[in-house]
Amino acid sequence: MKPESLDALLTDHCLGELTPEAAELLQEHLARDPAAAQRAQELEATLAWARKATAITLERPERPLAAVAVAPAPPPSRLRVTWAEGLRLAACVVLGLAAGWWANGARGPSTSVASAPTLPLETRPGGARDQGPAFWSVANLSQHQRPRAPAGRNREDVFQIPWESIVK
Amino acid sequence: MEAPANELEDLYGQMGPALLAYFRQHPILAGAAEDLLQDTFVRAIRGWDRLRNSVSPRAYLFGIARHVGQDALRRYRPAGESREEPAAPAGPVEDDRLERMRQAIAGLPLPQRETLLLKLRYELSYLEIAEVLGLPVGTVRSRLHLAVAHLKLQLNPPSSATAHVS
Repeated sequence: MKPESLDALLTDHCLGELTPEAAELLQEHLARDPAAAQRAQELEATLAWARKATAITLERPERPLAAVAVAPAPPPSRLRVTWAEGLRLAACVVLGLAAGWWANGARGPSTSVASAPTLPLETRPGGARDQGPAFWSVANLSQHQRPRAPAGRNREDVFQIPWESIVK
Repeated sequence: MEAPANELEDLYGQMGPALLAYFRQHPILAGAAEDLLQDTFVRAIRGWDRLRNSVSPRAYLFGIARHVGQDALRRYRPAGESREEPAAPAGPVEDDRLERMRQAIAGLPLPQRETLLLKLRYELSYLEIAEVLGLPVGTVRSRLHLAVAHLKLQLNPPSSATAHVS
C-alpha cells in the first residue's frame, strides 16, 4: 500500500469515518506492517494533541429558548374556506336556484326562459305580432301610459278613486 | 408546518451548548453569542420542515449558525481596527507540544481550520460537515486530510522522535 493511501485511510480511521469492515482490514494490515503501525501511532498522537488543543467546555445557554415566542404564525391563505362554510355556501346556492326556479315556474311555462322563443319576431310562425307588442316596446309603453290630465282639471283628480269603485 | 414547542425545547437543550460554544469561539461574535443562538433557532423554526427532513438536525443547525455568524460579521463595523479571524483558543501553556499544536491550528488556512474544528470540537461526520459548509463530502475529506497532515508535520518534524500525548 502506498504511504499516501495509507495516511488517508489512517486519517479516516482516526476520525471515525471508516466502516467497521474497512477498519478491520486496516488493523490486519497494521499488524503485518510495523512501519505502517508507526505511522498510525504518529497520526493518532497528532490527533490526540489536536483534540486537546481544540477542546472546549460546553456551557448551557443562560437564556431559555425565546424563539418559540417570536416564531411567526404560518401565513394565512387568501381564501380559507372550511368544510362547514363550503357546505353553507353550497346550501345557499341551491336554495337560491330553487327559489328562482319556483318563481319562474309560478309565472307559467310561457314566461319561462326555457320556453321563450328565440326566433326573430318576423320569422315566428303564426305571426307573433298577434300576441301583442313586446313588454318593453314603445307601443306597449304608450298603451299603458298614464292618462294625462285634461285641460282645466287638477292632476290629483285623475287619480282619485271613483265612488263606484270596490276599493273604498 | 408549525414547530412543536417540546421538540424545540429538546433540540435547544441538546444543541444549545455546542452552538453557544461555536459562537463563543469567535472573538468578535463571542459577546453576542446568546443573541446569535436565539437568532439561529428563530431561523430554524422558520425552516422547520427542512430541519426535520435534513440529513442531520445537528448539521442543519450548525449550517444556520454559520450563516447567522457570517451575517453578524458582515454587520460588524470595527472601530478603527481590522477584522480579526478566529484564532485558536488561548490558554495557559501546559505543554510545549500543546502550544505548538495551538499555533499550528491557528496557522491553518481558514477553510481547513473551520473544517477541522467542526470535526474535532463538535464531532460532526464528514457528511454533516459537508452539509454545514455546503460542500461535497470529498472536499471535506481532502481538507481534513491536508489539515491533519500539516499538523502531524508540525508536531513531528522529520528529524524529531515520535511525540506521544502524556
